Amino acid sequence: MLQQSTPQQTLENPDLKLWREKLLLELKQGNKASKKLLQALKKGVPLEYRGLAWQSMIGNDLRITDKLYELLLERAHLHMTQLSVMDQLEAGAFRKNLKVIEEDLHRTFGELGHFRQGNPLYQPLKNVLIAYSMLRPDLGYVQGMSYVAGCLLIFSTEQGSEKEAFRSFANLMNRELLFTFYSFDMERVNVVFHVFMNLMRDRLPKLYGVFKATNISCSIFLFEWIVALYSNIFALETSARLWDSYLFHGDYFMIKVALAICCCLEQHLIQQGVLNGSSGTGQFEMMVLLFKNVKNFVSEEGLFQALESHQACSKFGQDDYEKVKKQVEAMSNLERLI
Amino acid sequence: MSKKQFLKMVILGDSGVGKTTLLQQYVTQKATGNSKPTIGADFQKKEVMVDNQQVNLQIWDTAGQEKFQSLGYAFYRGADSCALVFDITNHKSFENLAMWKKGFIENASPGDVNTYPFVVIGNKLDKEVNRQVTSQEARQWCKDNGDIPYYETSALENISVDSAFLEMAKTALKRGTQNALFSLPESIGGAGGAIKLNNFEDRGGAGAKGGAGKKKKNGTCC
Repeated sequence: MLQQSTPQQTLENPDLKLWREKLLLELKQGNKASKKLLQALKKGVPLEYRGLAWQSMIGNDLRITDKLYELLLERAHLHMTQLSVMDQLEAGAFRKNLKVIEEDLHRTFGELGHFRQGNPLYQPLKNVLIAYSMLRPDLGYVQGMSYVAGCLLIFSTEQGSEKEAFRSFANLMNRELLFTFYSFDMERVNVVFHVFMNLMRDRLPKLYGVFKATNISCSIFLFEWIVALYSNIFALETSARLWDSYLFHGDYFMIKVALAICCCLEQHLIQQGVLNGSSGTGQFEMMVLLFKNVKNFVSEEGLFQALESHQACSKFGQDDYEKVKKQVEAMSNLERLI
Repeated sequence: MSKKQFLKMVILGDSGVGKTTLLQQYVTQKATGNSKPTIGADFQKKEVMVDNQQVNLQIWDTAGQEKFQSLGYAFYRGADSCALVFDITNHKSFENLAMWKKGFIENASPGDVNTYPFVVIGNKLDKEVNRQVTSQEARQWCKDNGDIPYYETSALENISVDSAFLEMAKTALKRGTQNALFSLPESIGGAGGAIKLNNFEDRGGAGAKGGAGKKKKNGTCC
């Protein structure tokens, strides 16, 4: 990255020093986080160290090796060149995945152009996604994955490092929330939707009221937000900063971000004078358009401010998430929100 | 009838055939050809005049990857019209129309299938040189499937996009009037009712035939 430095001083940014000398090590050791680390994560990991920090936070519980990655790609290559001895069913599923991967590459972060054919990250992203569909043929390729893998490639220690991105991607996909959504485990997805609706009811009653009046559930936006880990609805740097915290804190933080977005949107509706109880089709459309165009209504600053200090979400933590989840899971005959 | 009408439309078809770009072109009169993959479903609205009547269109643009169908079904419900889109340069996407139509019929409970306002759209006319599906072949399919109107469009170059959507609105309105759907107050929230089911009756709804028996809220009354 280009760094501007004036001729007189080349003093290093103190954040960089802190990360290099202390925080990266702390992350690697994985002990209980210091206050300094938590503060620094909120601020965002400096670009220079983001790749290293992410690797430490994601870890490699799956023990993905470089060799495995190579083997998966070799196997995929056999499929592609029709030399495969695999049964027709598997080969057919593979080709289906491949087709969608190829359609998605160029339009992943399309406005940035990183993954267009001919650009350096095109082939790495394709390889990572193909290798994953070989590793987990039960999931295969699912739209949304290209954003997650793409983001990992962009921020890997050496931009475009496939093996590193693959290792991180496979481990990340194994996290409960992502796995639930990407495997279309609809019953569990429904539980997450209910958890979120309950949180809205208790923490943002005004907005929740509009949801009820317009007969909208979080299913119209939450699936998309979660599977792409917010990377397709905010600017890249904003979502990377969200990932800095998510990778450290885990699944509850993704729900917390959704709450924070809702805080911002509720604020917006109040300012617009819309939250006064009237309902109807106009309001239904307004709500859907609001939630489908979050970027236009929620700034990075507003979002992080809500995360930090809005009473409806700033204190929301792992325990709160688990508690509501248990309550929902204990309910019989859960209404289906999907 | 002079009161404002609401129509819910859905756009279905394989991934990458240009559903999002079609809708973008129709609603904003511009298309970048650079749209994101649709995850779940996107939504747009547009007000149009049809036969001297103001009509409010609520259009749902759904994910094209088959795996997302289990999520998409919820958006089908209560749809007054459905566009089946394929890419004229991709024969497979044409072959899959039957699958999309079937999925829609099984999950949207559209009443009499033979009179349901489908429209078939063959998109990417701007790539005529790479055409794999002839107009004749497409028309034949439409004919065999209950005389569905067929349009060839270019979402990128704005060819016939308006006409295709207008056709959807017209036939939907006509059918709606016949069925007297629009005199019912609940029907205005058509798309809203489609967002959520009332029961968890079709557990394991990820399968293809989940909510087939579900009736559109306002569809049975007259």
